[in-house]
Amino acid sequence: MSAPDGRGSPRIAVVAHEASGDDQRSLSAAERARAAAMGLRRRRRFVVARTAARSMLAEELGILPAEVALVDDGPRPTLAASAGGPPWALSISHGRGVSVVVLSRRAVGVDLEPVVAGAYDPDVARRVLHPDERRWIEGEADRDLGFLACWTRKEAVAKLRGTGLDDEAAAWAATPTPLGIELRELDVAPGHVCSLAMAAG
Amino acid sequence: MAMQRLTGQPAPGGDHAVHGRLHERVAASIASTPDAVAVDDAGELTTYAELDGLAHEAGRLLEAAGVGPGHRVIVAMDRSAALFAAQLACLRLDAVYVPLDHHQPEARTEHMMATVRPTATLRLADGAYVLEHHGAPDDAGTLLPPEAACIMFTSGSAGLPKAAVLTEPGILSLLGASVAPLRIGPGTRVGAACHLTWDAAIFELWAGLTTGATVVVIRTDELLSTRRMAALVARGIDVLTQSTSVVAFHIENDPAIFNGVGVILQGAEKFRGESIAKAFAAGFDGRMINIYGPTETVVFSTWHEVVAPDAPLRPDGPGQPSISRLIDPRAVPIGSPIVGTTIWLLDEDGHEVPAGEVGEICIESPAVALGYLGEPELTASRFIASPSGGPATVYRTGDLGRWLPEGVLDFLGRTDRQVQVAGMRIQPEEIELALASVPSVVRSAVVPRDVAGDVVLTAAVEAPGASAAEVTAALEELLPQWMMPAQVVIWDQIPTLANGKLDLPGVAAALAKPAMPVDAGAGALVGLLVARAEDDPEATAVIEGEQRLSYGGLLAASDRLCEQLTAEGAGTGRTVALLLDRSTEMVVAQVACARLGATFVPIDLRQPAARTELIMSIVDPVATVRAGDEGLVVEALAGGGPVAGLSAGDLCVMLTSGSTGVPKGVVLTQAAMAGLIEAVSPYLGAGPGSTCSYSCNAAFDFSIWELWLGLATGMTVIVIDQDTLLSTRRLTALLERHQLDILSMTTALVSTHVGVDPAAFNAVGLLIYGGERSDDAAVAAAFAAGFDNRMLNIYGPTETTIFVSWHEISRHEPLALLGPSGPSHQTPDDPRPIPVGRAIPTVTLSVVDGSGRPTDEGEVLIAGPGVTAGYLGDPVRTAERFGEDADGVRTYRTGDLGRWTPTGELDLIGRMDRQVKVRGNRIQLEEVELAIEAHPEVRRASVRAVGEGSDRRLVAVVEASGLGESDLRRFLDERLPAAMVPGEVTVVEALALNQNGKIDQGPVAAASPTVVTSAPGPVDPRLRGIWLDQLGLADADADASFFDLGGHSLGAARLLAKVEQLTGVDVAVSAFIVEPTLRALAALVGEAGPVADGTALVTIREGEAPGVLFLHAGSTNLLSYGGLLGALTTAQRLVGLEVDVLRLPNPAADIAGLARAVFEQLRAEGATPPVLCGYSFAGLMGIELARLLDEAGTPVDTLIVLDPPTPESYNQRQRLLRKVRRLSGRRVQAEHLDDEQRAMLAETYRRANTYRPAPLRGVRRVVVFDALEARTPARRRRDHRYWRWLFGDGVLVVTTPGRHGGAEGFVGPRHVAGVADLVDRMVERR
Repeated sequence: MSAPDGRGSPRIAVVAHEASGDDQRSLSAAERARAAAMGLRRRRRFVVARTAARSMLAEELGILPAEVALVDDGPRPTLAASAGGPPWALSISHGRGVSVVVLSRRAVGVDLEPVVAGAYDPDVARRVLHPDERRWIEGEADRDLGFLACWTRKEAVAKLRGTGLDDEAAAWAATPTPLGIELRELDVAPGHVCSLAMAAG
Repeated sequence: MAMQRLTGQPAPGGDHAVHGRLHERVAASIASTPDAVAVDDAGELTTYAELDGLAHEAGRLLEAAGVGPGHRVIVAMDRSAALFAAQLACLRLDAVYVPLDHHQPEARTEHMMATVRPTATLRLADGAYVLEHHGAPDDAGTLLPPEAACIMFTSGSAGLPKAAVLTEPGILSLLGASVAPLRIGPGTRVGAACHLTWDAAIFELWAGLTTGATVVVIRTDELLSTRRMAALVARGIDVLTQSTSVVAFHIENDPAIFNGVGVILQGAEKFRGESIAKAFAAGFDGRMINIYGPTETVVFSTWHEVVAPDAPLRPDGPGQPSISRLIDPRAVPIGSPIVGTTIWLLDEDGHEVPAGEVGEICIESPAVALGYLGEPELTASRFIASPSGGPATVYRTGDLGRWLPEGVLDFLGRTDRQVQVAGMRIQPEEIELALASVPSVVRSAVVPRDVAGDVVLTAAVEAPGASAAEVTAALEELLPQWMMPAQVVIWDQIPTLANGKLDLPGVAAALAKPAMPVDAGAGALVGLLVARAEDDPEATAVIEGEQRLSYGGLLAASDRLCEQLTAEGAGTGRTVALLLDRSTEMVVAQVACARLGATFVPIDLRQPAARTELIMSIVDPVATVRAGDEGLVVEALAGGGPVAGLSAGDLCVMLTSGSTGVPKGVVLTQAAMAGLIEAVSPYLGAGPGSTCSYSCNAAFDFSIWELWLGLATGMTVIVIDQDTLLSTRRLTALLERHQLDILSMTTALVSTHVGVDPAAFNAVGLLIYGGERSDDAAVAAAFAAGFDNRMLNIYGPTETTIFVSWHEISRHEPLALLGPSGPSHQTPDDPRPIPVGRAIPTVTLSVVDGSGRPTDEGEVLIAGPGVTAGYLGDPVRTAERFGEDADGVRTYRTGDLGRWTPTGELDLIGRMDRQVKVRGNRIQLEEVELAIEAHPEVRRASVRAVGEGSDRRLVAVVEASGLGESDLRRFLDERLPAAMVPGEVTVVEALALNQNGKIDQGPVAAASPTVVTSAPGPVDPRLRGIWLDQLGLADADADASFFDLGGHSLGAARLLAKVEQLTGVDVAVSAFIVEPTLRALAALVGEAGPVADGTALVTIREGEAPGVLFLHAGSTNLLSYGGLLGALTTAQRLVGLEVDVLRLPNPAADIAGLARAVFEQLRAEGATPPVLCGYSFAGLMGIELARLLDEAGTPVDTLIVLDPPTPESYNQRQRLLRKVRRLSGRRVQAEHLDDEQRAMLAETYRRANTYRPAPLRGVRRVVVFDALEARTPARRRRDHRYWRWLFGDGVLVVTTPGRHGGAEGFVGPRHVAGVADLVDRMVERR
């Protein structure tokens, strides 16, 4: 796990899925019930990412990780309103054997994708990318990497906005960077592309 | 009188001034009564004159050693006249005596010597004093002030004893306050029972010698032997001072032991009222005084006298202790301050606490010690200035107290023993006090333990002959739940210190390593299990797949889990959430919890997260148990604490649905479960060597029943997993393999399986079903299909522990075993509706009206020991439903509407809350449902009332295949009054069942006439393939969320792109993420168009429902059925499904793939006729389609297969190849196919003809038409044998004239009439 990288900057934790030893002690009972219904691989990364998110929040709030009240009524966990203070935004993305967890005072979205050969599929790109983005990819030497860069940027922005992937995905572009948003490429793990989107400070 | 401080007031005119010297007062005794006995040591008498002589002897030695004022002298000898004289000698020299236990460890002695720095040590050798000289103080500054009299060591929290310097004025003040009120004087025999190092010895000695009384030495061996103590008392003891434990110990052994003793002063521990009450009851007529005070204020500072409950109260005048009758043995205060003492109750900041509140007891008195020798900081922290502002010193005791309204002090324990458990401040002493009042408890010690960062209280209890469960149960009567210790452990003996006080650090050992469960809760139920395991540890307890666990193994596995659970704080009054499916692990977890006395809560992992959250908030588990990579994992939860309303014998919490949507927790106790099992198992024939199922949802009470029935009676429990449970074929195979003796299953599931295969349960010895109204048609069908054993319809709400009534259906004579308390009985041929029957032996059933009076038809009221305590944490709803009858037996109002049959059995009509009024007519919805279900095509129905006023009407959702709504309406019109005929009827393929296998009323309520609820069924394998590829999984539940399975949004985009590539259907992302499951995706693809281009459902001829479906596969159309279709005369609708293999996306797909495509198409069209007909290799497709429909829960009634291929047809490769060539060649000549198409067609036929279907069951009737001229007689014999293997012995094979096809074919013009006639009759006479 890494420390905060500056004042006002988000806290970023990169956690390996093998790291936990499947320790669920800081999870809530409901989270454990969810985990128990999952397959091994998904359970691992769920537990690891939740544990990391809880640890980070716990440090910020000065409480124990198990005491962090996370609410799971949307696409991602949020801190219960009763926790007080200005809100924290949490964003989690899973890659191959590794997850990234971002905690921030500003709206945030992170997306992590493993680099795979053949990642660029024009049929897929047509469904989710704007023509500008597709043109940009066509100009790249490594189109797989180009696609993943475009995609993670877009997904990070979509997560920041809380919309996620939708039918409008091909109607807007995250490359170049949309107004009011800061986009950053994170080097979190070998063989991965990761983009972090934040509301411009 | 409410106050913060109180000062002991002297009696008017009394002389309590602190003046003079102790040795001067003894000198007065010596002078006035020199021949009086000063010391009686086991009959060896020492007069005052002799004592004086001894003191002189000792004094001379001390003087010679240079002992002078302010010097310290160690006196190291047992209590005796010599000891007392030595102490007197010290005081005469203005020296300070320090009693030392010469039996104590060397290290402790060294510490004391270093602290005290004595001038000399005085011992006794061969009856003579021996002095050991250490050296006089070299510095006047180390001399103690003249008022110092003695040093007493008190145990310190840091483990090293502290040297409290007590003063002569202090001792005199104690004597001044106590001697006169206790009437100690010449002739009084004052026991010297206290160890010389205990400050109480100061009181015994000087109260005796300064008043001319006789000090009676009580040796330690006498002190701890009731017999010797009795002998001593018989010789005469007027005043006895001793610790509470010792006093109680003797009383417990002999309640009359202290009869004759004038005054007993007891203290140092919580007053043991129960014991004292026994002494009073046994005739003790002396004074019983509870004393309180730390060493630092000399022996005692407050006192309280108790008298027998019926004794007159002596007025407690000034100078006398406060007094009360011993009515509540737990509520004995430490009383009023002795004269000259002021008690302050202060908060942490040294301020007085408000009246009535708890504060630290701080003592202001002339007796307050000078401080701790060599510990100025500690002294300054404990010895403080008086809050009054006066010059006096106040000692902070570290004890907590509060003033009771009557102005006496109540002791609440030590500040330093106070612990915070789950946010609540708890004094362990308070729990010990409560334990002390439990009759069986001799002694107890409650110690906090750190368990994974949480403080957990454990009670070590000395209670001969009692179980932890009994003690816990008794304790629950006395303590609020938050104070209940997490664990009660029975010890043979609790360690005590030399002074008789509890050795708390010693207790906090034994306990450090996890205490092994004593089967604490061992209630009844676990007791039965353990007994079975001891009878035959090798017997198999659980079978899951190929895995077996013996009873011995089960106990061993649960032992290990018990240790983990204990370490995480699980125990009595705590819940443990079990995040497990039904499995061997679940069995181990339940057994472990039950053995610990912890209450388990099985969590349904498939339920929505929000419901899980709600449940967790109700049951507040202390830990969770889940399956990890290497066995079970126990993890503590933040905040989990004792749950109000739970006790040791509570087995589990079951969550029942509340009408408000908030689940209600019902606690099933071990006792109730054991009671039920013991009451009914003789009838069930349950016992070692038998097998029973573990098949119900683990969060459903029926699963608790089947599992524990098995374990408590020594049966072998067969775990039936979810896949097996829901597949008739797999279930039947399992039942046959294990010859299951007892199968417990919900009514709805029984109906489903019987619907698929009426013979499904033929291998079961006893089928116990319940949860819903009996499906009499299913029961009849099962018996008609050869079921020849017993079925038991049971009834009972969770709130009354599993079931309360039973009714047997069998051809057998009812077992006489239980006589009239056994189940009622009827044969399967009996046309009466199946009732829920007679009450089980332990239960009383009644049917009552609104005011609770017995009536013919009304609400079912259940009374019996199985009625649970109510809803956890919900007293309001508990009060609504639970009560007691006139005999004090618990009752539960079920809300079920019942009536008595003429033969005295209970018949259920419905729910009280399902009685509706439609246009003035009172209608029981269940009655309408029953009428609908009487229609032969209807499997299940659910009816509700909608609308208001004149618009109010009934709406029915009906599970049926191929049933027309108008048909059903006609049927109902003939059977129901108009008001009861539903205004709207929706026919669906399958009504959704909830997790417990009951009809899920939620979707029913939501169903509109256009909404069709689909039963789960297989999904197009190609879609499944894409789905699994994308997720990187080998297999997945078709109802699981893409995202829950590990998919992410890019994966979803790729998935949908692949789907489009394969099917041409562009599924919108927004549509997909509404319900991102494979099944929903398949539906989206299906909605968008045909599953696979190239299939078409065509109507051959309109007619009556349900009709016949003719399958065809080829490149042409249904005309290949020859003249058959035209020759049929049936009035039923004829539908054809054409599959153009050349237009399929993957024409080389095998038969199963084709059948799946067809299946999806049929589902999309909502057309599943009960008769399927397939010709030639479409017959193979018919087999696979019938199989899929069966698995989907919509089995076909009749499958007609027209001369299908058999392995025999193509058992020679050369013949096969010739045939393929011929087929493809002919098609090429006849039709417009190009080469590629021809090749594809050939390949399709090749695959079809080499296809080997698995045996098919689940179709009621299979008819095979065998073309006479297609086979040689030898091959015909082999083919017929093959068909019997394929379809079962019941297959009807009709050999009919003609060839396989063509003009001379069996469906060609020459022969078709005969075939058509047979098919007509089969269609009509289903």
